[in-house]
Amino acid sequence: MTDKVSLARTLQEVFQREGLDGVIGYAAGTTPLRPRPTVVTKPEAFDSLVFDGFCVQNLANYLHRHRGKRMGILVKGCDRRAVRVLVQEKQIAREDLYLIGIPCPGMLNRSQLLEEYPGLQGDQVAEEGDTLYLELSGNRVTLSRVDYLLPTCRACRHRVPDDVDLLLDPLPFTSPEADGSLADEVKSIAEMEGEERAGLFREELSRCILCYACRNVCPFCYCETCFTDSLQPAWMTPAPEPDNIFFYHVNRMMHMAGRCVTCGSCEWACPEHIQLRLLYGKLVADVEELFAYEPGLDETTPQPLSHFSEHDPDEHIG
Amino acid sequence: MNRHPFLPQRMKIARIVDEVATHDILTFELVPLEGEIASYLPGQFAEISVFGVGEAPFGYASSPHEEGLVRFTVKRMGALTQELHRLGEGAVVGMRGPLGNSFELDRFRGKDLIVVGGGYAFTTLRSLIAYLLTPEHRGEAGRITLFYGVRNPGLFLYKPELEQWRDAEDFSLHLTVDAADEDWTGPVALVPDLVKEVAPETTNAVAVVCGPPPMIRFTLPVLEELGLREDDIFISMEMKMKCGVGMCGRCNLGPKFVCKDGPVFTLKELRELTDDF
Amino acid sequence: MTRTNTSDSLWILPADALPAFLSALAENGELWVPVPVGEGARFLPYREGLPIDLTQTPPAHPAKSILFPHSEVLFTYHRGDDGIPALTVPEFDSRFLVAFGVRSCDLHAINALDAIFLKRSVPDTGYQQRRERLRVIGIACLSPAATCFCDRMGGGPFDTTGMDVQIVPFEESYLFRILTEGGNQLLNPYLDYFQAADEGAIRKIAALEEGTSLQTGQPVDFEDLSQAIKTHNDDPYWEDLANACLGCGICTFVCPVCSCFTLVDEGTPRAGRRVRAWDACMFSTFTKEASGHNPRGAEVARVKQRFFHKFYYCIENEEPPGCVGCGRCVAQCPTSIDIREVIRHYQREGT
Repeated sequence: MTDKVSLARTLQEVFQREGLDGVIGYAAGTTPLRPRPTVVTKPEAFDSLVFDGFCVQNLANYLHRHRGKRMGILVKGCDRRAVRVLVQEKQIAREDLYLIGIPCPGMLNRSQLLEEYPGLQGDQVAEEGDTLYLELSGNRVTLSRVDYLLPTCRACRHRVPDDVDLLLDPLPFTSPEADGSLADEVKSIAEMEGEERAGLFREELSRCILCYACRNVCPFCYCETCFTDSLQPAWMTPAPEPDNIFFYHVNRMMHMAGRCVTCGSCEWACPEHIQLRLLYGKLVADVEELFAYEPGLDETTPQPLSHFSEHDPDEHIG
Repeated sequence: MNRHPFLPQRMKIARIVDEVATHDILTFELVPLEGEIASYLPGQFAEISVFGVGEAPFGYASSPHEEGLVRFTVKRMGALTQELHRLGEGAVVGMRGPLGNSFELDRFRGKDLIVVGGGYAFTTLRSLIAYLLTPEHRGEAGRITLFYGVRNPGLFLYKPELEQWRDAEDFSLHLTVDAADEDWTGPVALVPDLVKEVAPETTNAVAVVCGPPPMIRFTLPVLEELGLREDDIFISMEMKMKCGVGMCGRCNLGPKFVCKDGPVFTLKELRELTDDF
Repeated sequence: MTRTNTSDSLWILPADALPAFLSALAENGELWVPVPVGEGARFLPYREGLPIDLTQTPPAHPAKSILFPHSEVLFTYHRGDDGIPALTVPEFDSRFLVAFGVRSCDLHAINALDAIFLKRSVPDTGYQQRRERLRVIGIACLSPAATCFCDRMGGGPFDTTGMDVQIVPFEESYLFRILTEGGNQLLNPYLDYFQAADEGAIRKIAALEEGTSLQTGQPVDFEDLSQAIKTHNDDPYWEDLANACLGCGICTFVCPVCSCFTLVDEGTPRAGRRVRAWDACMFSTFTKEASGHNPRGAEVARVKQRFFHKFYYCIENEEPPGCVGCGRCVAQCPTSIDIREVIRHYQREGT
């Protein structure tokens, strides 16, 4: 999608000019439609960088490993917001970072493509503006990008990263309007009868294997000791039983209130394709409704759950 | 079918000894509630269970000649040790052991023995020394030179026994502290420095080292300078363990498991296994 | 119909007779089958009406869970009024344990699991009793996945190692090929569900085997690979992998060989149980001690542990290699960490 050569050249130039310790970006992976996050630390290694519609994973997560170093990082809209939350939470210093922004056309749904086109390989996919071309053994299939966006990306209202040190050229795409599909999904679940809703989540979470990919991919799960691993008290055990699984997901979700930027990385990383966006979509909608707050948009407004205001909604206190 | 390797033997706490001034190290004397005490050798360890909390590994502090009981000295650190410290005499705990190898007593035969210990890890060395000082085993090693250091005099374990050892034949005792109190008349020195100063004879000697990683790290070069070969220096290792039988996968140093192939390794072995020595 | 007792007899089961056969089989023992759950199949105890997926190659979750469950009660404890805990070991089933629809990769993995749970030190009782009861009705792989590479790791789509019976799926039926006396005893009571296979079936198997090509490369020379990895402890390549690795448990949980575990107590001081549950060397907490010290605290140390264990420590300890080429970790790693690439990286040129 982004011209590989100019991406490499631009980032290499930034790396040298700014005297960075490294640049966090994406390299080609070995499996179809899955790039591998990478840290480039040598000028000659920038050719390995790629950017395409499958670079879903929020790179801000990797900043924790490079604290105190001067890092360049490629940011989409959601990565940018995550960086801002981390700065706000004093996990990283903005001045240590050089943000290279990429206006994001929305990321593509790998599972959907692989389901519709089994065996699809990365080199068979080309993106051009709003169009997706699949080269299937001599047969070129033309698809509309917007039909293959991830549900979280479909609903994204902040595709273009703001306040970056360098904004790469806007790509020749028509930024799709954020649609209400995720909000509708969340709303329809909120309107379910309690037992029906519980059943839905029981069913979804019954597949969880407690691999913690959703936690480990999240930029905001940086606790030194996660509650899952605490021994005093031992809140839960690693046995994949419904109580442990439910406890894990509900508690992780609560820790995300006012922080989750709906990047979709957790659902994307889940090997069981658990629809975590439904949990987090509801959380984000509630925070927005109760506190008129969207995480990661500005550094100065305090996170609603880490500060008290006498105007905070208090209906639940009764 | 064999006995379940993860089923502990139930043991009753017969006696608890408060070892140090800070009261955070207790010695538990355990007697079996059922069955016999499986025979063990100095250097081996057991997994001690508090039911409802879990298990943790501890080196035997008792010596095999002390029949009918085993002893473990436990410092209050994490969840399990805190629970263990709350138990009183008469309470029942679980024990799985002996596990691991032991000190290679055959390699000590006819040799002088330099024993270097520091801090709380001294427990397993107490087992070794108590064993070698019994009349029936005394002939198994030559002269024993013991170095034992702690942060301050209140932290020595097994104080009454240390006093007895002072008078033992062919035995020299070198206690040291990092910081003295008003009653302390011995040296104030780090263990490696004291070893260097005393410079025990090494021509026909082997050494055993057990203690906190920095003590081990700085003692090893001293022992080598004194002339000990890396094959004659034995180190008792500690690492997080669960199963104790080489299955659960966490305590490996390279291809060897501390629980199954150790915990006692020679310095030569350790250098082949990891970069840390 | 002739009933043969030879050990390599061929029988045809019409596809629509499969549920009835499985139900009959399940009456006399414990039967595990691949069941579609979400987008991936996993092995679950059979019950009537459960959907079965014999197409996913391989099932997303390995068959190791049949012998080494994700969590398992080792014993329960219960304190009476005297305060003394009574310990009870769960009773073991004594009937046979049939693993149905298991593929060659998972069966090769059992050799590695045997080395760990039976031979490494004391035998693990739970594993041992399940292993002794195990009968395997395996299945040939007609369409290996793009990530499969069992052919380099000692297996193959039609390999029968570890199988008592091998199924070869036909269009509207399954061919059952009895390979061992155990397989013969297992199927004999149920032959009414089957038809004897004719010459045509034998030709058909040969044609299917011929048509299933998995040629991903030369068989791996594990001695060579072990030496190469051993001597590249400080290779920056490990850092490259660590820079991407999330430290999650996907690769180890979906691996048919990975068998790291933890022991935890569930319950109150009065009553509860000690449970063994899967753990992962990729988790940062795996080796973290109560003091906070962590010998494998860095991501790179954990990434190395995974591959060193599989390709160096196992070989050094004369145990089977820790990888059977099922490709599950490759297919499921979110950050595209690829064990095939590790092998390529350290295989000497030309091998």
